[in-house]
Amino acid sequence: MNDPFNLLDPDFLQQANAMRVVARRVAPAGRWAEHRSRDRGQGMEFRDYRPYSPGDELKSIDWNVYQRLGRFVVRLFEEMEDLPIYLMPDLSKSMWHEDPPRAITAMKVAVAFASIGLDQHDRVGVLPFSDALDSTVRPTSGRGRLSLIADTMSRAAEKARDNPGGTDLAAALAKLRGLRMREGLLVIVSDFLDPHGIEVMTSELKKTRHRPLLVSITRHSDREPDVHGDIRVRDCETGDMQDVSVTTHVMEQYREAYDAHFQKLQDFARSRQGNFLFLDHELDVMKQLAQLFEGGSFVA
Amino acid sequence: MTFTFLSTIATLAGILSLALALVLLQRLRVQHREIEVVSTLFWQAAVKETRARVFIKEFRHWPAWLLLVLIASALWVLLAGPRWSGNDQMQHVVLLDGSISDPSVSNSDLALATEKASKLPIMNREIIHAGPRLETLLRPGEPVQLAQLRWEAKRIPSSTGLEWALDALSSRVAADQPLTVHVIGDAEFDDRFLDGLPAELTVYRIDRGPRPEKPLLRSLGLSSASSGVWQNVDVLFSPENADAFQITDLELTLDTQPIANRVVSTNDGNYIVEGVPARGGIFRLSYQNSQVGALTLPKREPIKILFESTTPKTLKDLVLLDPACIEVTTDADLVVGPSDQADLCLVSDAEAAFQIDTEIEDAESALNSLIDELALRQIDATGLAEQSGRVVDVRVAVADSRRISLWRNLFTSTYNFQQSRACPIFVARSIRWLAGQPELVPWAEQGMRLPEARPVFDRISGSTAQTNDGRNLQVTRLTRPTQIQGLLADSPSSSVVAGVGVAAWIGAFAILLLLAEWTLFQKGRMP
Repeated sequence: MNDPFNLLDPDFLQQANAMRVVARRVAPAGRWAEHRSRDRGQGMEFRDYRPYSPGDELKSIDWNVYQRLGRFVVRLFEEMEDLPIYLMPDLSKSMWHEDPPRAITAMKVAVAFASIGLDQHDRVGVLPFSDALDSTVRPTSGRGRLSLIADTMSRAAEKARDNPGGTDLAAALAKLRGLRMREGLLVIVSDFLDPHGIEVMTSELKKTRHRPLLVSITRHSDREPDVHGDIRVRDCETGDMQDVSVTTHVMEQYREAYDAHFQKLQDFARSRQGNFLFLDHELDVMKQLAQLFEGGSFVA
Repeated sequence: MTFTFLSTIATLAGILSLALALVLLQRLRVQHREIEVVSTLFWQAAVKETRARVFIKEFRHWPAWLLLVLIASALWVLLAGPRWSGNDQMQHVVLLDGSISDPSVSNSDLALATEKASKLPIMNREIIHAGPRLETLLRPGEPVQLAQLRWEAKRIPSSTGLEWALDALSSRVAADQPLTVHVIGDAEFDDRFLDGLPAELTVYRIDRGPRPEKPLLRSLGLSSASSGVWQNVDVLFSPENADAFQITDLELTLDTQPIANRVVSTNDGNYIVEGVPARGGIFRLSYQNSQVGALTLPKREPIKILFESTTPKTLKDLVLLDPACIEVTTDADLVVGPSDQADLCLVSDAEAAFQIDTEIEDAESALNSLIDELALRQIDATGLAEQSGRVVDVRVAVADSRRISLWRNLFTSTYNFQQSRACPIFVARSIRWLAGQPELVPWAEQGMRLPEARPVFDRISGSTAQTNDGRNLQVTRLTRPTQIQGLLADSPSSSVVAGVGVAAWIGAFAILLLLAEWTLFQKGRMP
């Protein structure tokens, strides 16, 4: 199989498989898996009683209750279902601007989550985005599908690298919402430098039913750029120019704007019972991901 | 610190103006380096409150401005010509002794002079060569290398003495502008002369190592032979210590061959070597086996006379009485006869008795000198006037060449001129005058400047000199006739931090700042 970005690195996957994603309670109507569901079914954990109705299996009737009360009641158990994981790696132009590109790191994070999800029988959907959402691959499950997901992501990445687009997370989320997929874990791996601004992103994120996990691919120089004197910064995606006379005061303003931007993202993720992770593109990816998986598990 | 070209106030005002101009330039000059970034989101937010530098906004980049002001100020101060000592108005002259007493001014002396000058304040120093006149080799403000170039470009002649040079330099001295002269050479000065110099004039001598042994002779020269022999000259010399001088220890050579000419002592302490053949040879005097002086003798050839056919026999005989004269029929030096081409021309009594053409432009002074030189004063003009019945006049005219016209009948029985004592003297001196006997080298005496009149000693090299008529002349070191009572003090060592030193340091500082500015600009730390 063609793997130009070395996404299926065995060592990397082995480390990923040591981690688990645990959902407190997944949305109903899923397939059988390992997560507790709001569905009542055939699980191991007792959940409730209800009156017997014709058609119920006789083995589900609680005969002790009938002996004491003389009524037929049926015992209900928690259904164990899967957690849909929707992976949205950002493949916009800004993710390809540097060498090595951040997009590869984003895809590795996505593959790590895909591997974890598939390993625990969850459905995993890969939805790369830039100025639009690529929804050609529907969520799938089964451990053997990892290579398919990696291959799909590689092809999308090659296409995005050759003809990169801008970042429009809001549009991508709007399209995702339109797909009406089952509620799950939405993992967005991006630099979150959408030129439309943080407000547009968060307002669109609020509209999704999914629990967000925002992984920000950053570099140290994002917050501490090594620039001096009079510079003209040009946005690699939009081509917008901005003349700046770099002074200590300007740099303080810059850092304040940077911190405020990501603080808003963190606050938003927290408000949605989601998570936020800064992932330094220049450091080891798996070690940083491990911060999410305290004790080997990430509770979504 | 003071400045040579600008006043302190002008210098400070210039720095202030530069600083203000740079403020304006700082506001105007915006050079953006384009940088592509992943997003301009945060830059836009950052400059919302702090806009990029524009003309009317607040001044930025203080360090850059300060650096530029420093560079500009250093260059401006450099232009102002800084000097450390504000009271250093002292003028310095390094005087190269080119006198006949020390004709061997060599490159080492010049190197010594340039080395001394390089340590003196650049605007207050000169190098002057004291030849027949003062020749400036280095003017104030010029780099010392120019002295060497001027030295090589000119063949600067020698002269005698140095005291006249100090006299000339003393005229520059003023109360507010003292002068220090650093002499390079062995010329000695009389204390009485030094005492007479202005108080503002200080004379030092630059030590140039061991001085040569003091020579024996104090003067040396030539004159025509007292015997009257045309082809001979007499050599005159004065020993330094006449009382101790032993003539038996004297050895004379002509072109390395010993000669035994008579040496006559005069009462004034001079000695005359009589009748030395003037054939252009080198005459040397050695005392106690040590050469003490040398002269290149003039070359005196016989005077070749062509007599025209009608020349009176009396005149012809009188001319040929002079052993310097020989009769020829071709290639004559002089022609005697009645024709217009004759140098000694015989004319009729209708003309002036004595018509003298001379190249000397001042006819009156020429007449005064010729009256004695041609023995005209000894002619019995009154007798001649009585015999001729007319005035006997002597006329002098300026012409391209010398010529004497006189009555032909002076050499006939018409007048008794040919019987007079004046006749042979006048004829002999006229022929010598017409032949233009070469001038002899005047006495060369230490401490006295040779007159501007020729010949002068043109330095060739070492102790060989050349007269202006092309003859080589071996000159010698001569001592003063007067008693030497003292020596000059050694020249004090000069500060090496003078004039150009300050400028060099400031220039180096400016270059360092420019390098720093360039480096910072390359690193993006300088707008």
